[in-house]
This record gives sequence, structure tokens and C-alpha cells, in this order.
Amino acid sequence: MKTKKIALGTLFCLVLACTCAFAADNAAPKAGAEKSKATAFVTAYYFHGNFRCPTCRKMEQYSRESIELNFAQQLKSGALVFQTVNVDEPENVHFVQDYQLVTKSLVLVKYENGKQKAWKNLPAIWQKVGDQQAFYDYVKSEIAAYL
Amino acid sequence: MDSQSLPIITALWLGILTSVSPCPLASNIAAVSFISRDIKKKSTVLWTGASYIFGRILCYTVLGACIGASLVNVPLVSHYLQMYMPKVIGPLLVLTGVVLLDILPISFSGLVISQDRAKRLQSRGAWGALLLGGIFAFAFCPVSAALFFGSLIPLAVSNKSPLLFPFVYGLGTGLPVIAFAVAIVFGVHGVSSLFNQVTAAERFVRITTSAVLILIGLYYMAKYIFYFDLFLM
Repeated sequence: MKTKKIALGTLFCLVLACTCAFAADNAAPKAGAEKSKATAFVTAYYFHGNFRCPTCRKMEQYSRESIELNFAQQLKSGALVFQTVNVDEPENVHFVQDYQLVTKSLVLVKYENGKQKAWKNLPAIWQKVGDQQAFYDYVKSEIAAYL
Repeated sequence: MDSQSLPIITALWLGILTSVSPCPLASNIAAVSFISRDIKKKSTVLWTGASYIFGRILCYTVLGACIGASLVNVPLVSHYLQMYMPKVIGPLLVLTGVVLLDILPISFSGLVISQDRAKRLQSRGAWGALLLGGIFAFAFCPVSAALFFGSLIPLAVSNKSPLLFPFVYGLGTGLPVIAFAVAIVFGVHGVSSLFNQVTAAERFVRITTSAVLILIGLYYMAKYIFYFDLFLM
């Protein structure tokens, strides 16, 4: 009888904790997208969700490192912007539809005079994530071709 | 090998790849425990295993059919399945584990396992496995979403086969789980028969199953509901 009470109490606490977590989730502060001051620029978006898997973190890290390593000047001038976006936040859900995102993705978006001109998803990051140098080279060549 | 069979083998391989990738590992361990819990009856394990695979196949095939018929918006479906379904798994596994222990005076159709209801066990276990397979299939993580929506669906669409490819993929996702479950049951059964300890071993397996389900359920809750930084998977 005592064991049942303990089990029921534990379950009740778990349900309560889950409810609180869901509520806190919805009340989380929202992050807006940054914009460059340049008239023509490319934004490299890394899209993620609330849950961050180790592979997803690695892809974000490699993307950032490749951009900082190979495009320091462009980052400084505003010709290139690196932006991480949490698509689980309600105001960012539109990105899922805009760029046809089915999982964590790196997307290049070209802007001119405040308008989006073109975009390109880099799906091969999933294949290259096991090889750091291959990942760096892939991101570098794709961005270089887009700038 | 002709050019027709190669894409099918690729679909099967993508399914196996999904099953052995790190992020569904915890749910696979839970599935192996659930399927192999009744070591006394090997046929029950086979039935339960078949139901689990069927649950997965059914979900992927229905999803493939909906995508093929353009009934769903693929990116949004992928997004919401990844966002909400893994949150369901944790509480579900904890509840299943607790019910398996016979602590709670609740009866959940398809999930109740009681020693004195041996006859109904087989069909109920099978329904539970079907449900578990379906829920696990829909609980996409980033890797499985990339493999299903990013690789399998384009393959199915390019081969004009939105039903067969998800079907084969579902089969692939279930095969490693069933192989492990069957190996465990036949292994434990063989060893325990040798020492005439099948009943004792069954009790041990049942308690271990409950403990595994509860622990994995708590792990899922920590990871997907509370977003604790767990670097394991």
C-alpha cells in the first residue's frame, strides 16, 4: 500500500514537473533575426530546435568555425552574417516553410536592398559532419560561390 | 543486381541506419526490453516483435502515402513530429514501466502485463508493441528526420513509389531491434533451461524490463521536456 502511494506521488510530481516545463517552454524569451547594415549580403542561417543533439551541435560549431576562418573580412564588412535560429520558437516557425526545412539545416540566403533574392540549403552537412576538414571545405566553397 | 532492386535495398539500408544511429538508441533499448520481457514463451516474443515492426511499418507507410498524395506539408509535419512526439515517449515509458511492475491499480488496454492473465497476455502484448512501434516511429529525432524526410522520401518520390519505400524503410528500422530481442530471449531461455530456472529468470527479466523502461522514460523526459544537456545521444 505504501509502495503504491509512493509510486502515485512520484507520478503526480512528474506530471506536474512536465506541465511546468511545457509552460516555461512557451514563455521562453524569443530571439529575433539579426540583419546586416550592408545593402547586399548573404546570411548563413543554422536552424536548430530546443533539443540539441551532439551531431547538431557539431554541425553548428563547424559551420561557425568555417565561416570565421575563411570569411573574417566579409563578416567584418557585413557582406556575410552567421545567424543561429531556433525554429521551435513560434515566431521562427515560418522559416520551416520558407526554406523547406525537414531537420537541422544550414541555409544560405542572399539579400539585396532589403529583399531576399535567393536561398540555398546545404544538405550535405549531414554527410560531411564526420570529417571536419571536408565540412569546412564544403561550407567554404558553397559560401564563396554565393557571395 | 538490377537497377530496380538497388533503390529498395537503399531504402532498407536507410531504415537499418536509422535504427543503429545514436539518437533512437534509447528508444530501441526500451523496445528490446519490452519485446523480450516474456522469456517463458518464445512465440509471444516473436508475435510481439512482429507487431512492433508492423506498428513502425504502418506509420511510415501512412506518412509516405500522405506525402505521395500531397496531403501533408512535409517540412511542417517533420517539424511538429520532431517537436512534440519525443515529449510523449518519456511519460509513456515511465507509465508502462510502472504498470509492468503491478504497482498501480490501473489497467491500460494493451499495456497491462499480469502473470495470472497468461492467455490474454499474448494479444495485449502484441497491441502494446504495435502502439509502441507506431509512437517510436513518429518520434523523429534530427538524424532520423534527415534520413526519412531528407533521404528516403526523395528516393521514394523519384522512384514513384511512396508506399513501398516507406514500407521497406519501416522494416529496416525494426529489424535490428527484433534481432536483439530474439537473441536475448533465446539466449536467456537456453541458459535458464539448463539450470531449470525459467520462472526465476522470468521474474528477473520482468523487473529488469520495468526498470529499463522507467530509466529510459526519465532519460527522455530529461532530454526532450526539460532539455537537460545530456551528451550521451
